Amino acid sequence: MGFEAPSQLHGGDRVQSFNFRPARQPCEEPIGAPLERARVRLAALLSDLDGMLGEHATPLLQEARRQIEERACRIAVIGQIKAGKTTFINTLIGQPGLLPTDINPWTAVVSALHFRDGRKAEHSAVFQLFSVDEWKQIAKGGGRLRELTERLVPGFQPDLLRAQLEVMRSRSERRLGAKFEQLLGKAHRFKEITPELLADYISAGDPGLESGSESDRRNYSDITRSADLYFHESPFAFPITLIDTPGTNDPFLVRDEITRRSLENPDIYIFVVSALQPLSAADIAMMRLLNGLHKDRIVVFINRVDQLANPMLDATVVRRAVKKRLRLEFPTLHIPVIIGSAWLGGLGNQTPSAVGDETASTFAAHPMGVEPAFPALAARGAPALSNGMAEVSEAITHMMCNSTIAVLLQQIAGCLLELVRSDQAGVSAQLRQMQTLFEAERTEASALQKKIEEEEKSLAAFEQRAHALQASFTEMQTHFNRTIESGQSTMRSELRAIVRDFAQSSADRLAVAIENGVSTKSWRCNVMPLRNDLETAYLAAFEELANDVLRVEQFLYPHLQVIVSNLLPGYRGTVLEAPIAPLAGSLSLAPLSDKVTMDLETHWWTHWIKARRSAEDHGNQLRLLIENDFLPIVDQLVGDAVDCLCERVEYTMQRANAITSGLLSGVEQRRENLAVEAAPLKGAGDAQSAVRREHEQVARIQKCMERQATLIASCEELGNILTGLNSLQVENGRR
Amino acid sequence: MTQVLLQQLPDERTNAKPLVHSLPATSRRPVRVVIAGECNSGKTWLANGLLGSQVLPTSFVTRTGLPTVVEFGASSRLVLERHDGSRVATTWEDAESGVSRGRRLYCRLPSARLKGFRLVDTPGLGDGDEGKLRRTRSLCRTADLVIWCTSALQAWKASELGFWLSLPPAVRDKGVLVLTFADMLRQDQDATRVLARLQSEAGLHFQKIVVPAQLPELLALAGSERTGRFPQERAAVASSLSPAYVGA
Repeated sequence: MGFEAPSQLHGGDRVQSFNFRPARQPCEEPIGAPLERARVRLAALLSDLDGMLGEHATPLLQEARRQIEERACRIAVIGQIKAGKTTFINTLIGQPGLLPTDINPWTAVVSALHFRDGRKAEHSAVFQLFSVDEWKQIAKGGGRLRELTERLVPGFQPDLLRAQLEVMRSRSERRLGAKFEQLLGKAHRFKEITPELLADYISAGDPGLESGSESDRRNYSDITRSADLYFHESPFAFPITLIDTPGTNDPFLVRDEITRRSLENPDIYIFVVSALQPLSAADIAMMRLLNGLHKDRIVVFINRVDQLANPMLDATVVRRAVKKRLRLEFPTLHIPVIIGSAWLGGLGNQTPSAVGDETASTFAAHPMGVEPAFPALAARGAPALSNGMAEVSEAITHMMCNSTIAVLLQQIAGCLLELVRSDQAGVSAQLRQMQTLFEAERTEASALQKKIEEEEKSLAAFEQRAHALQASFTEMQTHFNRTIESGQSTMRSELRAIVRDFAQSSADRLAVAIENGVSTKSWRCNVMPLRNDLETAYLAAFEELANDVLRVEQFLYPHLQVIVSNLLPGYRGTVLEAPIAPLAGSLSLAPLSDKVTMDLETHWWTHWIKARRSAEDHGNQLRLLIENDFLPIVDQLVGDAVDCLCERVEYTMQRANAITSGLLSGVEQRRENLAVEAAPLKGAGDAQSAVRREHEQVARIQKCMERQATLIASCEELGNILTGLNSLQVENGRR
Repeated sequence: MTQVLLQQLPDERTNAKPLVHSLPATSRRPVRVVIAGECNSGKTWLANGLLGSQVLPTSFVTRTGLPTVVEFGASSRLVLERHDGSRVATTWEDAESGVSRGRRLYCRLPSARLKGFRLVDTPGLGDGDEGKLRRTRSLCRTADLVIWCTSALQAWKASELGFWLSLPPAVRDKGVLVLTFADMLRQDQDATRVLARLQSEAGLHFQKIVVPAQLPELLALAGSERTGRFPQERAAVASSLSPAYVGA
């Protein structure tokens, strides 16, 4: 498409030099800046707290540090073939021509681009090739599609798939030699990323055009499973992993399969559609796949606006039409729709006049020499049309503030706050103790003795209650688990019943149709209603179950609150209030969008229905097909719901346990103090040692006070970070 | 664009005589041509090209959603066939705005070209409308020649393949795949490479894969053979397939 002529556009300025030119206006903040500020502050705080909190906190702190340092925001760029996904990524990262693009579907491999400032990975590019088993499965026509068609008409191997697999196998042999299978299972690593390297591993290459004699380079794309590219200089503020995918709706079925499998866990999806055919049925099908993934995770980018006959006028119309269609299809979702052109965005790195010349001359030189596709641009030279990239960046940043990443940061901050507060409570109790003892000692020895005894007694009582608290937390967990356990079996049987009913009624309908001699030529079983019913029932059942959990929380928390406030009069923690993270936040409906037999193209069904069977047999088989497809989906949904609730319970328990272990370690420290204080009582010390001890005492109190000051400061900082994160979300909620 | 298409016809691509003259005088009825494809794949643009003038309105977003039959008539007329089969005169504005409802539009033109063929421009597929799919399928069944348009900018998707394979083989035998919008590609060799991909991925399912400029020649051929099939073309297609596909 000429989109991909980096040498042409940039006068040979190739990719090796990683100068990130800002693709957006320079005054704008890079993507993820607000979240990055929170992340940096949290990281700084973590190193301040290092060694400050007791041993009990170490595993929690380590986990928090790992999450903060390693977790990147995953952004997947998806869409149909030739929608311009790769061009979009190239423009977003300010590197036109980095990833190879072409006029034919060209991206064959799911590749992850890892952007993180200042950290140099050992290798810049890692390509994982298929394992022997995976390749065998692919080469034999494995995968979901084969499985589904097998289920429908056993032994019937679709010619198309067979032909494609044969092409792929023989192509691999031609490209890589007869012994290419020896390469399988390996990972290829490289120090530098070059366009040639990327072309070798992730470009599909021309079918049948390569003769092998032209160059020594070998194309590995057919046997490459995934590509990881590491960049130590990032155009983004927050650590981001961009995922480029081969397009869906690819007649090359194998590639379509690979893409679908890669769509599991990104935080944000950028859905690229072509302005020329915005939101076709295939796009909508794909959106349904993402629908389960929550409303604040999808941005629709209508690409290639430069190819509209009249970009200025049509852009508005197209955008409005897409918004309308989305509202109609997904009434509850709010999906930002941005229209633009990644190609124009890529050109934006040049001077405006160069853009105009380039465009005009390309068209003039064209043999079919029609009028320019965008006369408005050619005439004015500079693109008056927004290329949409700045809007996309803004949308991504806002979405990140509401994403699982933001929630994660919030949870980390919340958990740290609990830790610091309970530690601070312990420290102030310790401080009080030391001061009392110090006072007592000054008056006389017998008074000290008495104080120590009193202290020991109260400490024992405190410890007992702390243990009791810990025990009731454990009991609470058991109760949660029991609630979830009973809830999930109810949910499972409810959903299973829906599947069985639907399967039975479809089977009956088919049998009746056959008996009545109704034409079965164009007969199809539409499972959309079943999907919808399952979705409704699932969400309702989940809400009920979640409410049960909430009820348990609401019943138990006030009791525990009383216990804790007795233990720690000065404690102001929030652990005993229900966490703010929404329960359904991480619930996924993705399994509902799994491709099932019923989704197959009509021509496969024709084969099935042609088979000579009685009407009853046909009905029975249909029933089994539906059950076999949907019962596993039900299991997966229930499993997801349980995971989601368990995660919540675990998070609550983590915070609760942080408190009790903080309390217990405080007890430990005070006991040590007592032992030190009691020492002189056992053997009468001389004056010198008394002086020394007094110095030590003062130093200990001093240290304790310093520690308290740090903890209070950390508390404040954490409070600020949390407020900041909350306000980012609120700000987004209003948008 | 229409102009370009037609100017190119006689000299550049073929030596074929102008369409009308090449049709045998003995033709009893005009060749029935159905143009189908997904939204914005250039169907109406192509139809206008074949008609030689901007007869059918091309609009980017709003579509009538009705198949339009373009045939010869003594005078220019636009007729709407209602659901009950009755016919009334209408205007493009009314048809586009959906004021008048019906199942088909008939556009009669006193054009000499239309003595050779009768065109059906079908509504764009790809929005998942089952009824539209069914109607287009039945239109294709009655055609002598089915022209499937695929846009060079996003050529030959699985959804197109899916629809095409849902047609009976006998209908597919009458199919020609046309690569539209090749003029919007930015590099010369691109069109060749897209055509190469089409040949390897769709070659088996069509009589022939062509660019718009080659169509009039094909139409003429279809007219002379009456059956709408081109056995000699088929052999050519088979021989141009990539080795892996031969015999598959």
